[in-house]
Amino acid sequence: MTTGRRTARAFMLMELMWVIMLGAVFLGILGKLTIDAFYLLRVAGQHSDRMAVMDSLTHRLRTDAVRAVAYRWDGQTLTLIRAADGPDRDVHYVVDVDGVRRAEAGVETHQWQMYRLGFAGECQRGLRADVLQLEFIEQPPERAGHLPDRRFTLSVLLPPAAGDGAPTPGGESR
Amino acid sequence: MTGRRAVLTFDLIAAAGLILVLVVGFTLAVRQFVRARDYTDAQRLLRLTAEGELNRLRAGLPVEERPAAARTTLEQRPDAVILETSKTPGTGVWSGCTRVTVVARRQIPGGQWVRVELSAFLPMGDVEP
Repeated sequence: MTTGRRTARAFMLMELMWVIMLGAVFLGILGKLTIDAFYLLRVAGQHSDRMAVMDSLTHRLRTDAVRAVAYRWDGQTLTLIRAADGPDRDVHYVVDVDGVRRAEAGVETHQWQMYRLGFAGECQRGLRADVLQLEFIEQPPERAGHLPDRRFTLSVLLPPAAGDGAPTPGGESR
Repeated sequence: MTGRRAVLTFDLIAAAGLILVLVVGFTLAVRQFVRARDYTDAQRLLRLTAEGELNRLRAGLPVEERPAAARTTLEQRPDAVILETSKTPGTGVWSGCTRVTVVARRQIPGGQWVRVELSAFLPMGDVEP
């Protein structure tokens, strides 16, 4: 084998090593981008699910509040009274930190719950009507723990308070 | 040998160019996606906030008695919601009512302002002039 052929082989080898090294770098970048894209899709999907939970609960709660003639609030449970239907038809909303449950006539009909979504209820008594403030607290994704929680506050006008269990003036919070 | 080297170098340049185009395209798409998400989330928050403000007026709740959570959202965070309320007397079929307009604004990341405006006619006695 002549010296010229050896030199040519050495050049080829060096170039192949360059190609392999750069190829590995490019593949790494592409792999990272692909993983990030899938993560982003997953996080966005979860966020959309939380918004859908919020919308569903908002719609149901507003509809029930409009149909009620009175309400009770004990700091955790909202009872919407439908006098015309009798006590058996009262609607109960139990607001827990990790979910909201709706029961009608003693039967649980709905449950709103979602990963990294918290709930808090507060009832305030105004001069002319009472307002339920239902707060949705969306925690940031796992990899973005430094971000603050997102808070959406739903406000629902309530019918007059019924007898005992009415909130004290200035509001009652949990 | 020179021909083979040229082919390899051309391959490298083409691959680098393609990767660069992919990275730039992906970054732009993600930025647009995040911006659109921020915008719709801000709209949702502002709509709920403006509705809450109208409900507070309907109920006769004083502004200073906002729940702690609402105060946090409205005042303490850097991306705070700015609320402006204006009242004009109703005319025609709406005489005897006051038109209350609540404008909620908020700046989203990137500097863009999102604005939601809601109006309602409330009985004159329910709204302070």
